[in-house]
Amino acid sequence: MFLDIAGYSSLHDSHIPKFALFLNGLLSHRLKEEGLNPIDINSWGDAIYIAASDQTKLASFALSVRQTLENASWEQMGFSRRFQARIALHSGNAWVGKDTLRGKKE
Amino acid sequence: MGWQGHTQRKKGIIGTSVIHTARIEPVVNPGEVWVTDDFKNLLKDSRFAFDEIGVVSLAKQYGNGRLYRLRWEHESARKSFIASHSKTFNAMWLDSDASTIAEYAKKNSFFELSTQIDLWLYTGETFIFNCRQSLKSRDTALQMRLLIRRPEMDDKKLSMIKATIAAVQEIVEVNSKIDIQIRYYSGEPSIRMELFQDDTRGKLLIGAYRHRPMRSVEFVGAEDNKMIVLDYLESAHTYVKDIVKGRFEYMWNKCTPFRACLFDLDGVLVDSMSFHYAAWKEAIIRFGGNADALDFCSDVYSREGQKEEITARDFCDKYLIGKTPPISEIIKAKNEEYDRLFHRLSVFSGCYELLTRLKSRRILLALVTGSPERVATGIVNKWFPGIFDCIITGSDVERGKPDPQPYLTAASRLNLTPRECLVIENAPLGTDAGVKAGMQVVAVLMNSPLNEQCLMKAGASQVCKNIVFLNEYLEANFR
Repeated sequence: MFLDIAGYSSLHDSHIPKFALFLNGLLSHRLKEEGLNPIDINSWGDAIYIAASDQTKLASFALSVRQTLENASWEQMGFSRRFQARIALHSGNAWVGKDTLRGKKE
Repeated sequence: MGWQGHTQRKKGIIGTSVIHTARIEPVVNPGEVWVTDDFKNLLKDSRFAFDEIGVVSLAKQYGNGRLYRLRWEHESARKSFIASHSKTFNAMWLDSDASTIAEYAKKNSFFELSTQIDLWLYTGETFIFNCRQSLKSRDTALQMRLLIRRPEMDDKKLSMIKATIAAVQEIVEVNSKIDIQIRYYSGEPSIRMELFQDDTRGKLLIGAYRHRPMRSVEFVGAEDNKMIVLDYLESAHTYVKDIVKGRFEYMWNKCTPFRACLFDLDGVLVDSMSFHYAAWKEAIIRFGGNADALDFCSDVYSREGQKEEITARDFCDKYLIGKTPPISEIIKAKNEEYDRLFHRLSVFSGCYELLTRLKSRRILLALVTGSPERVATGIVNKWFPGIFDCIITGSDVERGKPDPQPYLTAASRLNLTPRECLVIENAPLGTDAGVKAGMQVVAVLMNSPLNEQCLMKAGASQVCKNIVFLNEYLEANFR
């Protein structure tokens, strides 16, 4: 699954930490709720990447994230606009290996 | 914050499936989840449903893929773009003189439903005239931006644009809810969007294609220069909308109204190029050189704007082979001859009127010439007294054209940014200098032996045949 937020690049720099906190909190909560245990997960600002072996849970996770973003009270959180995610899902074979770059950091 | 509890972060997943997914995500409609055939086929759960989107061009020219919109089974199927947006449509970005789009938009009441409309039209008249009555009587607010291309191109175009502007004024006078802004530009459109009706299949298609000078038309998201037929309108629209919107914003921002006009002198305001040629020829003859080979176009006109020291040095190397006169002596000889011919100089007809008209509109005027101060001052005092707010001559700068220094110095003295300055040039070196200074350059041919392509190649955004066309261009851009 690849997800990014439409309009993220238009955010003022001072709003980005707040937005990231919200997005990460939302994704963490949804992961737990859906019982999705990803093989790999990574983020870069608004770009989220998740690899999982259970496509049903992943599909459910994607739709619930979409729904939460749609229902979020953006104005109350101090944002002047609403945000929506673009989410893509695909199934296929992939190689799993040790990521030495990220691994070294931990 | 974070999701450490759910990850095995030292693992990495790689493969074409990962790349494939990454190429889908940028083309997904915001607020939607799109899946591939492979994902759909594996998802055997009755809680989920799919709407077929069709074959979509993936990002980064990754190819095409058949995609489906994922939704909960209890959610209603999303309608086609036209159906789903017809009630909430609030903006449209269009580029074209294609009346097909105008008619289609009218038929589907896009104008009535939109609150913002950006029109990137060849003439602008199609939309304005088609919807004049509905705009006049509209009772909800509308912001419209109209980007008009090449107003100075020809008389017919100009009269159409003038009529369009008159219609716009008429609309805004009777309906205060309508706000229409107009800007002008002269560059070639790089992207066009068109809407196609395929009667045989009963489907509507929107396509974008990229215009590239000297190249064939290239369709965005196409292979082998053939447009991909998209089964659903929304996927095509989504794909091209961002491109066209981005391009529109780029052009709109680029068309910042100018606050100053920076004029070159020789060949633009003063019909002096043939006298410069005669004077250089005489100087070469005086020092025993072969002046017959001195070419008006390639030697004199193409060097116009260059500092005299550099031109003299070049001519010395080329036409005074074996002679070694001091460069200062060659320049002195050239200027003596030029001074002798000075009484025969004339200004181009209509120049003075053009300058005074601009001045009356509070447009700042600068003269930027490679000629020495003595010559430039002589011309200004004789024909243009009190006209220029700033005069930059070859004596004022270390580096002459094609270096941007002369134009940047003028902008600095006028306390303006380069984007606020429009340069009027006649020669490639001067055009190059203006472009390097970050300014838009309009070239004017007057009686130049150079052709339009030569000046366009140097970076001119527009080439006007003569002062009449230059006047029309400036009239449009300094409204």
